[in-house]
Parts: sequence; C-alpha cells; structure tokens
Amino acid sequence: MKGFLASMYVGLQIESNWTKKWVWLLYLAAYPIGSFLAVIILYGVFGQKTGLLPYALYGTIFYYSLSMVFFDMAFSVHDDREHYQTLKYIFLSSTSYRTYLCGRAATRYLIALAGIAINLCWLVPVLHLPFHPNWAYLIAGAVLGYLVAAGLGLAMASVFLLTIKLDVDVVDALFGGMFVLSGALFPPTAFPAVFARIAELVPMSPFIELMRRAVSGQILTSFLSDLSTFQLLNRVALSAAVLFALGSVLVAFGSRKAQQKGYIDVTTAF
Amino acid sequence: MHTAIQVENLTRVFNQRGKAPFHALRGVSFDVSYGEIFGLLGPNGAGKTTTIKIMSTLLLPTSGSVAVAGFDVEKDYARVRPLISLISGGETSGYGILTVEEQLWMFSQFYGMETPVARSRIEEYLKVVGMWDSRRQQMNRLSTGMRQKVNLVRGLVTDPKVLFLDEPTLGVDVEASVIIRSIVRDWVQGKPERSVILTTHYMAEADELCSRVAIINHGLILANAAPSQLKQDLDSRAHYEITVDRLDGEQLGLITAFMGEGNDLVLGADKVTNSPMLVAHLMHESDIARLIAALAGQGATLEYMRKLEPTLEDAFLKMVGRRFEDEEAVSPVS
Repeated sequence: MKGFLASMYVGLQIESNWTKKWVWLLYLAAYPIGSFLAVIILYGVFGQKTGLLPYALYGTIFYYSLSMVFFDMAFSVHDDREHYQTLKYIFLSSTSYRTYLCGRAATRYLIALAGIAINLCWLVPVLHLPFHPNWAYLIAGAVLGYLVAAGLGLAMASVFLLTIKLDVDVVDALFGGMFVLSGALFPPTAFPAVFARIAELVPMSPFIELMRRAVSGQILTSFLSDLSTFQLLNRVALSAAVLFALGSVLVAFGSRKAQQKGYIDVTTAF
Repeated sequence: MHTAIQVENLTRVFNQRGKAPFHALRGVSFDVSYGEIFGLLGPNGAGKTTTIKIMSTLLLPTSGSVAVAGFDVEKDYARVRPLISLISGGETSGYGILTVEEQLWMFSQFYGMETPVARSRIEEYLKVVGMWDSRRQQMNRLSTGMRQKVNLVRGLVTDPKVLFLDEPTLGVDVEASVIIRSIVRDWVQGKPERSVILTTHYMAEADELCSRVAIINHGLILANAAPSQLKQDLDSRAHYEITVDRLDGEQLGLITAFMGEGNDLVLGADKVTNSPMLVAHLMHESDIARLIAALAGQGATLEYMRKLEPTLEDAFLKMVGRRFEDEEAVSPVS
C-alpha cells in the first residue's frame, strides 16, 4: 500500500509540479476540452437534429478518462527507463512493478475525473444535457473502469518492457481504433448488425454505457439497451476482473522476459 | 551464515542480431563474506556490470547460479530485493521534478519503510554527505556529484544487507569521490551483517576500499585475492629508487658484483636534477642496508631515496599482458 501511495504521489508530482498551482488547476479544467470539443461541434452544431449530443459527449469524456490510464501505464515504462532512469531502482524495490504502474495511473485517472467533473459543471447547463446521477453506479463504474483500463495498460506496458524503441503510433492506433469501435462517439446500432456485435465485445463499451446511464439517468440509445444497468455493472465487473488478471500476468511475463534480455535498464537516448 | 554472496560458474551470453553471440561472462565464480568490501576490477566490457546486474536481480544468467543472503537470485528474487541496494555511477537518475527529500522518501516507501524512520535516516545520511541544506532543492537543479550523493543516500536509507556499487564515483569530482568512499567504508563497518560489492575501473579506489578484489577480463576472473596479496604475488623483490650525487658505470659494476646474484641495479638520471638515479630490485628488503653501505664505499652521497610499491595496475599488467587503459581501448562494451 505504501508503494502504491508513493507511486500515486510521483504521478501527481509529474503531472502538477511543472508550474504554479493555479496554472495547473486551469490546465486541469482546460485539458479535457480538447477531447470533446469536436463532439460538440459535430453533434451540437452540425448534427443537432440527431439528438446524439449527450450520448456522444458522455461517451467521449469517459473514454478520455480511460485513455489517461492506458497511456500513462504504457508510457511510464519508457519514461522511467529512458528519461528518469529510475526503472531499475523501482524494479529492485519491494514494491511490485504492477503496483507502481497502477499507482501512477490512478493519479492520472483521478486527475482526468476531476477535469471531467469541472467541465460537467458548465457543459450540463449550457448544452442542456440530461443529468440525474446515480452516485452508487457512478462510483462503482469509475472504480471498475479504472481496472478495465489498468488491465489494458498493463498489457501494453508488458509490450513496452520488451521494446527498446518507443512506438507511439501503435498505442495511438490501438486506442483510436477502440474509440471508434466502442461506440463512444456514435451508437454502433446505427450501423450494420455485425458492427454492433463487435462494439459489444470491445472491453470499454459496457463501461462507457454504464457511465452514460449513471450520469444522465437515462438509456440514451438502443446500444446495449437490452441490458439493465445492474447487468451492465456486472459485465463491467467481469471485464475488469478478466482484463486486470490478464494484464497482471502479462506484465509479470514482460518483466521476466525483460530481465532475461537485459532491457530493464537499457537506455537508447531516443 | 557468513557468506553474503555465492557466485558459481556464472555465464551470460548476449545474442546480437546479425552478429556472433557475445559471451559477457564465461564461468565466473567467487564468494563474498559479510563485513567485506569486495571489488570487481576490470576494464569496460570485462563483465563487471553484467555480474553486478545478475547479482542484483536485474538480469538473468545464461547458466550458473548466484545466491545473495542465501537466496537464489533467479528463483527467489522477491526475497533478495528487500535485502539489497544498487547504486550506479555515471547516470542522472531520479525524478527531476521532485526535491531531494521527496525523492528519498518516495524510494523508502517503495521498500515499505515507516515514514518517521525513513525521515530520520534521510536526515542522518543527508547530513553525512553534506546535503542537508539542499534537501528542498529539485533533483534537476543538482550537479552530477550532488546527484550521485543523493543516489548513495537512496541506497543506504533502506539499510540493505548487501550494497552493490557499480562505478559509484564515475564522473564525479575528487571531493565527492572522497566523501563517497569514506561513507562506504564507514557504512560497512557500522554493522557486521553488511557487505559491499564494488565495481570500478579506478585501481586506486579498489586498492583503498576493498578487502578483496577479483580482476576480471573478457568475462573471466583472472585473480581473486586481497590487494596486498595481488601486489605481493606480482614480485616478491623489494624495489627502490635512489638518487646520489655521483655514480658512474664502473662503480655500478662493482656495486652489482658486491650485491650478488638476484639483485638488479639499473642506472639512469633523475629527470629534474639530472643526478645519477639508481633503480634497485633487491631480493630481500634488508639488502638495502648493504646497498647504501656499498654506495658510501664508492664515495656517493645519498640525495633522495624512496621505496617503489607495486600497484594493482602492475598486477593487471602482469595478468593481462597489457596496461589497463590499453585493454579498455580494445574491449567490446557489453
């Protein structure tokens, strides 16, 4: 637990210690805007008649929160190995590398959620978004969503442990692809049935839909509408358990292989 | 349990794409006792860092075994790690945005230390290295020497049983080097169940600190003994440099005959004063008295005399056949 909290602290310092507190708070509020501005233009201005703005906006901002965890975990490996040159010292400590990665990403997730909360304060009244939060589902969903993203992030970290050169494009392509397929931006049911089936299999889809319902208090489209909110929660819990276990196994495997190849402390000055 | 580390027949091969495999270690064996500062001495690419990485669980061996505090580094690495610390020189590790204090506290937490204990040790060691006043400075504002001192404190705060020092004074100034060496010496003497494994290519550093050194080259241990023993093994004769006011070749011949077989005398000139300078290699240390008497008998007055001590560098030269820096120039970097 001490290791987890210390990792959270490092994550917070890396995120916030580069400027004055008030500038950082401003940044915290402004940063998520980039993720949903296009959605507002797309559905709030041009596609107003579709009525999909709440669906797409909630979907995008919660997908954004997951992406923070995913990217943070994936890039921490290179960050710590090449830039800070601390990876080997973390590896040799009593804290497991998985715990460290989870701690750092947890901070990033909380920061992302804080940014979302700040933005919802003006988005809801200005855009007349449905807002009837179910706090129990919202909190449970947030915790489980973190585990879903952490599972995927750990899997990606295991790949980066075995990769000397940083390949940002792979991560971008993977997460960009899942953004489209998860139905975060538009309801997959508007497309051929096969697309909707694929969307249901994307690990983030149930989480995003759960969070939409938990915030808006409504079922906004027919996507996953055959599942009750409780069933959705169970599906997210199942995804979280499977993905987190899988990510843990993979990062342990990646660590062992990196130890074998001598990649724990390799630096390339990329 | 007196053995801190036991290394048996350790090998490590690095496969390189499109090249022949590189054999970094070719059957290395040695052990280290508690209370000892053990040095691994060799040029770049000799296998020192590879050995230390395997001992500290950063790298897996190709074959052979290493036990640290009785635990196998390959199978029981989770039990080894809380007992060890690694400090590498010549790097700028650390989170630049954290202060010195924050950085050290954070690592103490990774070892599960209670914060009051951690804070008290951080204070103690920062004062020892003379950095208490810099505790609130960000890491990225520190000089290389200061960073290395923080690195040393990070390694000591967790009170490890075995401290691995990989070129700890590389790239730091003379003053910082002296402080680091002094702290390491005091630290290992602080408790009986502590030991230090030091890799260095500074011969004088190994000579000063280590109770035992292994000379390693091309992945093989060439010698493993106390520095004094290595130097003694090099040449059992006593060596002196004597400057006199006058001495010619004829007189030298007479003195050489007087000293007898096995005692070699070489006549040259002092580079500064240009006075005759005799380099004497004597079978027994006590022969120096006879030599001084013989010089006096030839009317030569002693101006200056010093005993020449062999160095670890000389031991390396004898074992490898080349001087240390020449060997570095031809060695591959692992």
